Amino acid sequence: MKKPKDWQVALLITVPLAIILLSLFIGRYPAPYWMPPQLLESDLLARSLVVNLRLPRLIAAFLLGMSLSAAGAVMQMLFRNPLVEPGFLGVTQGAAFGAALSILLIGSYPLAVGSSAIIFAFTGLAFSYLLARRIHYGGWVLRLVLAGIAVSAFFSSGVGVLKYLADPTRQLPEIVFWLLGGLYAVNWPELMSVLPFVLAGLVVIFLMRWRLNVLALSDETAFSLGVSLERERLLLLIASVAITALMVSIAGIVGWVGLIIPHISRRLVGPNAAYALPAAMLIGGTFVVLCDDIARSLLAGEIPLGILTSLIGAFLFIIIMSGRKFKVLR
Amino acid sequence: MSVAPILAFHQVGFGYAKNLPEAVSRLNFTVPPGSITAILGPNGAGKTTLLHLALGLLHPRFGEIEVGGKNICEYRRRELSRLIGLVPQNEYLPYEFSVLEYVVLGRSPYLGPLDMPDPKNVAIAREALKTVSIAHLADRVVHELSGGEIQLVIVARALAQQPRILLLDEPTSHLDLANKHTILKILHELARTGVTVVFSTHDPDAASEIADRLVLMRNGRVLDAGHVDQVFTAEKLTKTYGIPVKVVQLDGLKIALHDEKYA
Repeated sequence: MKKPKDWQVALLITVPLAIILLSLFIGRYPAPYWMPPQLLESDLLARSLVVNLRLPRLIAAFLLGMSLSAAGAVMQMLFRNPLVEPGFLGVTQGAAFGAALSILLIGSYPLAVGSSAIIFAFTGLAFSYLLARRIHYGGWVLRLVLAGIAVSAFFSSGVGVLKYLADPTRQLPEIVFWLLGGLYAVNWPELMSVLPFVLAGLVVIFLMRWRLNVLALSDETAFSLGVSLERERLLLLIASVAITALMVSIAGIVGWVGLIIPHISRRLVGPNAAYALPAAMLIGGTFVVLCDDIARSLLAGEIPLGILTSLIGAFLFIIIMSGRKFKVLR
Repeated sequence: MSVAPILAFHQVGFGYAKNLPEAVSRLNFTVPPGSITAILGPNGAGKTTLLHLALGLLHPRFGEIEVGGKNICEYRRRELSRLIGLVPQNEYLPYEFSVLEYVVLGRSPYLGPLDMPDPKNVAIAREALKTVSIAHLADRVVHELSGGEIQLVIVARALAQQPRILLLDEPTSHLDLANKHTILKILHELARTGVTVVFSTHDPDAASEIADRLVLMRNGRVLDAGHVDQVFTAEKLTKTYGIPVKVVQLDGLKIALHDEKYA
């Protein structure tokens, strides 16, 4: 059996830990970019900043990266398609619509926007699922993909309408900023409201990581291997969509992570999901933590996280896909 | 018949939708344990549907299917998958698995949804590779192999399941002469170790080469089923394929030929 090499495992564990630890001291206080650790002892404000703002935000960033990457990896296996991303079943656009609607009608309170986003994310999924059942041709993969495209288009036109209706000086910038994604509003209570559910979803996916390989085979083969296709697929699908929707509800739309990170992970440790899935989780978490470090410290003002993940992600993607060196590691 | 059949179809009918005519109907035949049965018929005769019924993937609308003397509906999913393995006509691998990684997937009937294969499972997978003489390909990527090698890999994956019945859907249809022979030889040897082999084919020669028993199919019906000597005749093959067929003997092997001269 091809297993990841020891140095790969070591790197995949130590690098994320080191980056999380270092990230606690990265920011704009007391001076741009770096806070000396000894300041924690003398400066009360620094301690409170690290414990109450940076720490929950860091955990949220790592969790966001893990969730999007794990969900992306699961869906790329379940749908046997390397181009699907976790939000494609109407989830991302549904959340965007929900958030915009809340900003327009209720106001931009994080709790209201988050709840509305999560309700519409699941509405999007439910619509996609019900629509897929009404399509009478193609296998289940094609039906769900088509339904997801239709529902996403529906919600994205809805977002367009809401943007058009929004007050351009007050509400429109809020909507745009939310759509670009960011963790600036995350605090402990908000993080704790999603943390248990996200962890539960991640654990389910992690435990079924080898099984994903079997589920990626053709229906008849997977069936002949004793898999309860509908039940296991539904469980993984719900777990993936749930963690995506929950994280989107506190972070807004952070694109490309769920699409790219599973590819990078497969390139590094091979396609066997028993290793590729945990690797994707660790790489994804680290990637988003790094992007968020840049988002909150590079400029005096916050840079939307979604812009950075797309920019850096696309750049990494091009390098890795066109590089020959990575071929050897497969 | 003294030995109880390991697989039996009793008046089985099946349709893909309520408003569609039945794809197969009144299927009636038995398969003795350790035998090689060829399901022979033209394209679209219902051979794949029959195999999917035997696998339990499709449920008969009429009639009854027995596996090991028990109605197939009484088996639990995992239980049945330890008895019956499948080599599908097309196996689509979306990602670049290594041969061994793929063959180990054949152990899933013995693993729970949360389990990972342990070294014992890997050893059984390696054994399956040895059985089809491709142990040396274990670490290669499946996609990079030739068509004949890939077919052997798929057979090995099904053997890792340690099934008592092996179903193969057109196992030789896209293989050249040498690879076709390799596969047929392996099926022959498997039957001698006690595995019951049931394979579909549209090629009468592949059937006559190794099968003990034939099931002739046309338009969703079983035209005839029984020992190859009684069923592999010019008259019956002519009915099956709808064109004049003659059967010639060559070195003790029966071969079916298209019995018409081109002007």
